[in-house]
Amino acid sequence: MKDKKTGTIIRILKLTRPHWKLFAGFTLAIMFTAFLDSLGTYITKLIIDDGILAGNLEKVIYYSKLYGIVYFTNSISFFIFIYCAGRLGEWIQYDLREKLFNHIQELSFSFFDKSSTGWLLSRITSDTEKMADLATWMLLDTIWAFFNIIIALVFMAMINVKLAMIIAIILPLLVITAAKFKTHILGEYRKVRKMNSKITAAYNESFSGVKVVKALTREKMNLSNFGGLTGEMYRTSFRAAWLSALFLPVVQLIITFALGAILWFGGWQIQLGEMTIGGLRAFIGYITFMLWPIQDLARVFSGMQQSIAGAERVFDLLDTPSEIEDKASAKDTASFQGNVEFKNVSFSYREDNPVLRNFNLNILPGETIAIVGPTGGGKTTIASLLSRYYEPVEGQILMDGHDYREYTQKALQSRIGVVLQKPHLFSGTIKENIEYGNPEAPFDEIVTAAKTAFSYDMIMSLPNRWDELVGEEGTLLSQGQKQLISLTRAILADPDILIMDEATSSIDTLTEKNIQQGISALLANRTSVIIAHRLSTIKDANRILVVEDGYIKEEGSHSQLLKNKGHYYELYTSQFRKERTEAIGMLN
Amino acid sequence: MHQQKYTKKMKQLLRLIGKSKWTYIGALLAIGAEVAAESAGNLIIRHIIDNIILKNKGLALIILFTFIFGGVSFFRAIFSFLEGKGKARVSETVAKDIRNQMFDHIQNLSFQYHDNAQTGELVQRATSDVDAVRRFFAEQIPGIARIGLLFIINFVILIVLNTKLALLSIVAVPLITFSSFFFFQLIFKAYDDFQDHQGKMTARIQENLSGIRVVRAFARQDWEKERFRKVNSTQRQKGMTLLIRHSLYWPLAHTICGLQFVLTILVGAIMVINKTMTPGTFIAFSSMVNALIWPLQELGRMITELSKSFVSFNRIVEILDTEREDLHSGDICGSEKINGHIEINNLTFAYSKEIPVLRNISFKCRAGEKIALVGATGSGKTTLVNLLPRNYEYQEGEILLDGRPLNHYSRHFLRKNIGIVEQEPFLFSTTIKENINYGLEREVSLDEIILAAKAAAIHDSIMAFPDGYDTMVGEKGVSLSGGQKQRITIARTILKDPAILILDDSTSAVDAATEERIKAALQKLMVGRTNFIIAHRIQTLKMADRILVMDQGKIVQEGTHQELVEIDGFYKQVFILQTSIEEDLQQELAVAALKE
Repeated sequence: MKDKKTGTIIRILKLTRPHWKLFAGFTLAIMFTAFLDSLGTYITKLIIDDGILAGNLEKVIYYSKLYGIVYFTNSISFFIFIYCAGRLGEWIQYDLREKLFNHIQELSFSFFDKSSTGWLLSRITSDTEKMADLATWMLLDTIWAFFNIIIALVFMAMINVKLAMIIAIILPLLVITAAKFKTHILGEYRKVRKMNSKITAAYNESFSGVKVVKALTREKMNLSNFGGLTGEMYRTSFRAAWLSALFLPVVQLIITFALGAILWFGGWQIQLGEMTIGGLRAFIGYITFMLWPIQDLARVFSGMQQSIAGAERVFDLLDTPSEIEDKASAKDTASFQGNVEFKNVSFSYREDNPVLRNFNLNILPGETIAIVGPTGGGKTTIASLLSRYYEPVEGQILMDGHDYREYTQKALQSRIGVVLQKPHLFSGTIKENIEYGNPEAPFDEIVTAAKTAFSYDMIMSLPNRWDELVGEEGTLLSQGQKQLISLTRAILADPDILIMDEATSSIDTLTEKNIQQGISALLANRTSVIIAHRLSTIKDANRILVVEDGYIKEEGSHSQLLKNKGHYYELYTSQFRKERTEAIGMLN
Repeated sequence: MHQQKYTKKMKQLLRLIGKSKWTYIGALLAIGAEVAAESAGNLIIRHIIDNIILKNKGLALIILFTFIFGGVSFFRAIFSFLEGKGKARVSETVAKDIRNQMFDHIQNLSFQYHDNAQTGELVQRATSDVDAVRRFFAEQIPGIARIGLLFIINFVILIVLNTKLALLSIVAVPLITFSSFFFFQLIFKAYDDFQDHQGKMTARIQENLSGIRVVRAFARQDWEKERFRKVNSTQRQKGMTLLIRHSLYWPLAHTICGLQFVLTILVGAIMVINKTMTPGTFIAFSSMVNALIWPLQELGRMITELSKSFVSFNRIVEILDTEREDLHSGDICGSEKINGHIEINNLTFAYSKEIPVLRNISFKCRAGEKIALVGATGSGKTTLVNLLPRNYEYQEGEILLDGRPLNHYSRHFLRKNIGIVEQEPFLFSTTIKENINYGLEREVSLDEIILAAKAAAIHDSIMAFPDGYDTMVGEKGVSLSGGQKQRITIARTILKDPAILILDDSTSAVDAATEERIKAALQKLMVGRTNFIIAHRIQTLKMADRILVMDQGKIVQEGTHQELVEIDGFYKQVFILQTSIEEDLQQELAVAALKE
């Protein structure tokens, strides 16, 4: 456990290697600053003893000049460590973000099924920040604290060894007490944060369900429940706050004992002639100044715990291999004829739960296959396997007679087009979104694609036409418009094999018609596999497969299957009723 | 003008303290006491040096004054604790009060307000803006007070000790204050910029992640990487700008404060040599100059943060100043019984000042009648039923309930007597049991709840869950299907036992088998109440005694199913389309068979 933590810290520190100059810069500068801080205090001693008490004006002026120089030099050192540490932090974050982002782009789909967007996002944003903090500011604070204490002790020993030894004995006690206390306080603040997220959740629910609350006249009861939460929040945070209000006085009191000891012991030493007044003043200065590193260390260490936890998550993510890797011998290919064969394919997401068993399917070039069947029957799995988002556990998938693992993923995926149920657009213009399908396409090809997909008129009717912004994830467009753009994008990409997960959502009749035409255009002249919902798509397919429990239950053309009066017949008639009833609801 | 607004906001904010006023003043006074105690400690050290050590007065006196020093420090610690505790009590109380106030106020704002508000935005205000106000009391006011008190108290003592040197010791104060203000303006600007861009970067990553399948589908990873590299690089630059401003300010502040300190030391030392000052005074002086000058570095930050708190406070006030929905005024608000006779005359309604959504609506409905509303999306059906619980106020015409205008009834009373089964059921993340008796003011026994659940045909499904009626719903519990949620809301409405029932397209989101069960449950529910049914399926519409057909905010047809199918119009059209579905299907099947 401990070793793992050390390993993580070392790995974080290794991130600084490309920027070792910055690392060296801030560590040296902070040590220098710690030295100058102590030196400054020592100079005040010299001013008092050798200058003032000796009545030597020259020395006063000399040491004052020196003191001024120390301050000025220290400012330069300040600049160096702030700049170097800050810049290093920015670089570490930049490097990590880039590494993570790029790594995520190549991960396999099974990974995305397990990890949410929000989870990944906090790895890239907040965890990287914490890691950078550890390698810069936290390290800086730690070095400063230790050096400050050690150098101060050395200077104290120079002034009076016995007194310095007393301090050296009291000091660890002080550090441990402070650290324990602070850790306790930080634990209290963790409770506050937990309460806070409860309150946020309560707000969220109450505001999003406000109309139901009103309809059911629950306002009073809800307020009293919420009052319970805020009351609890008050108690937790008040406790955390007064405990931390206790912290500083307690540390100060302990320091006061040290100061008292200095006054008493120092006073006695002065009378013995073993110490000077300037020395006493310097001791007071050193002790008072030590207050800061001591109370800071606990905070830094608890911050480090969080950084390490974050770093472990980040490193785990970076160490996650893509489950699908190209074979060393994998080759690129320019295009496929479009013959696809599933040969005894078995597949399961989890070992105990097979989704496909000995699945066989041969799709001829140019054929359109519609897959229908209940949710969870294996339709989407077939599509995912074909796009090689997953690979078969057993059996093979052949493209033009070759196992598709003989090709690189890139070659394969750039020749296989996938159109998803929920059209996903990226923020930017319509044109940029269509170009996503093929960035090299000249503009007239884009226009042709739009015309083929029946999206051209829609685009032309928008105020800014091709330059119309679609908003984040396309939110500025309607569902139907997004689907049209997504179809145009796929047509522009011109894949050899098309996989489509058809949308179930209902849209107005005119758009529906356009979309249907767009889909037909997209399917023409290429091998297509569609997870179909719309009757028109299903009817027009060359072959329909009814897939249930990982098997093909029925297979044939629309009319063949209807005649059988089996599963397909059931599915078709119920979908027919549903589509028609929905159409009536939208009637204008 | 600006200044005036500032003071006004300040006064408004300070009023929030209310009853805790004296606690807060006490906490601020404690800061003064703490600062004074620290200075007193310095004066004791001065006394020890000048009058005991330098005069060789023996160890006993040193020990005595060391104890006095310890005592003063102890007082200082106590004041410091009292300050912390006092300001925590006040700031946490203020935060608690505002949280409760925000919660209550927001849930009491009108439907109209909530139609236009975003939950995320409201939550943001109720959480981080409230926290900003908390920090105003917990950190900013005490912080500024401390800087001020450190300055004033120490400066007064310095003046008394040595006026000339005291004045010399603050020559750099204007400079340090000015540069603190100047740089923190720049720093906060850079910080806002940095945060802004961070939002953009987050959005970019989020978009990439949620669209990762599309990225892969078009094999566009390299392009995405390049696109991210640019955002990432800008983010680093924004961070650098912020950093550079910090890295210039702190050394500068350090130099100014340091040189000021050296100046004091130099002049003080000369004074001691010239015997115009004692060594003890010199040492105390140097400590107090330190305490006075260094905190000034932070003044700019404090003031800038203060103005940010004002902005947050403004956003809170904006919400609290919005008028609440009046729930309780009205002649009828108690336990009177409603018969459920409704009469609507020449009713016209528009959301804000737009085009009317309802025009000239008139109809009567007897108590216990079942009225169906049918029409295309946007024809005004839902708006019409939303006027009954006074969710919105109509502009023209009248609605009479049992012969009295609707606004004679308090909203609370109406809502208690009107039950709505919504199209999209909303459940709260608590137990199923609590979801069913949600909103009931009386005590409900489990038997009653079970009875309602059985009537809503959901009892068996509930019993199948591991914890039965105590099963949690939502994120931390089971996820329910649309049909199950719908039936739980029906059970809820059965328990509520309203005089008027509104079914807003309650069966559209479920499959056929569930629909049958829900319909049976609804039919039981409708007995003995006045019912409004919004639907577009003929099967459902047939359950009604009378059907109103709406189009563009008007009632265009009215009658029973039998009557309406005879007349040309929207209803007949819907009826024909729906009855023709089966015929069309048969025809389809026949055509398919022919193709073989």
